[in-house]
Amino acid sequence: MSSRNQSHPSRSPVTWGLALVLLFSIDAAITRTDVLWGPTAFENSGGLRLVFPQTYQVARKIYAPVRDADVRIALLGNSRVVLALREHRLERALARVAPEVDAVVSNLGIFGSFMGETEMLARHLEPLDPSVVVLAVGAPDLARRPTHAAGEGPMDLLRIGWRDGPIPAADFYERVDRWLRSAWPLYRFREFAREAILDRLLGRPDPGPPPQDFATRADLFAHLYSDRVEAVQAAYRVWERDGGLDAYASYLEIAGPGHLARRKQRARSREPLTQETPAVVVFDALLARLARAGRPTLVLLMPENPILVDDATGVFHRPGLADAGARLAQQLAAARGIPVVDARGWLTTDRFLDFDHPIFELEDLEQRLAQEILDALER
Amino acid sequence: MPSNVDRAIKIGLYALLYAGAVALLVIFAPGEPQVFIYQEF
Repeated sequence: MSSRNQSHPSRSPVTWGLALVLLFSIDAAITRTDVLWGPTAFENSGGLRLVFPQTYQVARKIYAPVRDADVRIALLGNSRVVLALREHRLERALARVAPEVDAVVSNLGIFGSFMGETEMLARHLEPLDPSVVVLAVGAPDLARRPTHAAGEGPMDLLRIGWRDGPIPAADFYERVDRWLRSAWPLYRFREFAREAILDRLLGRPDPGPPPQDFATRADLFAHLYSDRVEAVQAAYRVWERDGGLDAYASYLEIAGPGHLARRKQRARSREPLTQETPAVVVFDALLARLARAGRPTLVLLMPENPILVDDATGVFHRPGLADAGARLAQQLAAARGIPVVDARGWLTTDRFLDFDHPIFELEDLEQRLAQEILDALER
Repeated sequence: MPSNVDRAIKIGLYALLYAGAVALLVIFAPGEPQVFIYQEF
């Protein structure tokens, strides 16, 4: 071909083909390396309640796990599983029960996840290829709405899937966004890549990761409630001294007014909890997804705060809802041959942060759960 | 021959420009909201 007949280099098909190859290379150089998954400052900035870093860290655990092992255990759930179960502590508990098992635990819980967000996260499990999935669930997860509104939830950045599944895309643009995130790693992780690259380019200061263990409850309170820790501590001491639901509610008025307000609001709800409840439908679809993928799964009915037994009039909870939720979860899991561990009564009130959240350092929970996981592996 | 080398270099540079531009656009174009604040406690 004479140079006269050749197209300009900028319009040549060879240029476009080469550009595509280079784009794949750039993509891999970012999304498969420490450029994206190395330590970042942004994941340690913004405080405990900012969920964007937590979503990033969960993505890292799936797409760039630090350690491989013969047995990989994935924990799925929301803040309750994040707060209750520490990976290194559960690994230690597993090692105590079965020293011969080389196990690694990935806590994939994300604050604020509803059942739809958990189902969305389960779509990402392929690269991690867990040997056992522990799906932590409680009645509140089945009774409330199935997902956050578009643009609001903790899984907004990890929405993938060629098909809608139980949580349909809000509109055509979200559907295209899901397709692009499914097909194109750089697009899927673009918000995280942006922050990671800016961290490295700008040398933003890294405050370092938050503490993983707390020696005392006072240390935990100091971490969670830095601005009002003394008041929280004092109110908690009153409950420890006097006991009772009223003192506990007074402590929560200071420690977690948002939590308390939501509990009261949910307690007023009279929505029936049945197999047709939207979050239950999503839960069932999630079980079906895990079963289809051939992933051994364990449904963990999360510990419930026994102080709610004293709330007979239903100010802070819906009496009977926990049992109804447990029955539903057991029914649906049994239909798919999935074992259920009922941990609802495993903990006392002093092992909770509030009405919902078990706290860290729960050796009894870890030890018993370790045994259940090993039993599930043997099945 | 020199013109072929010259053309190959130009193709390489244009390809790099296109790929780089797309990657930069994807990474730094305005994206989804990043702030979801958990307010349960």
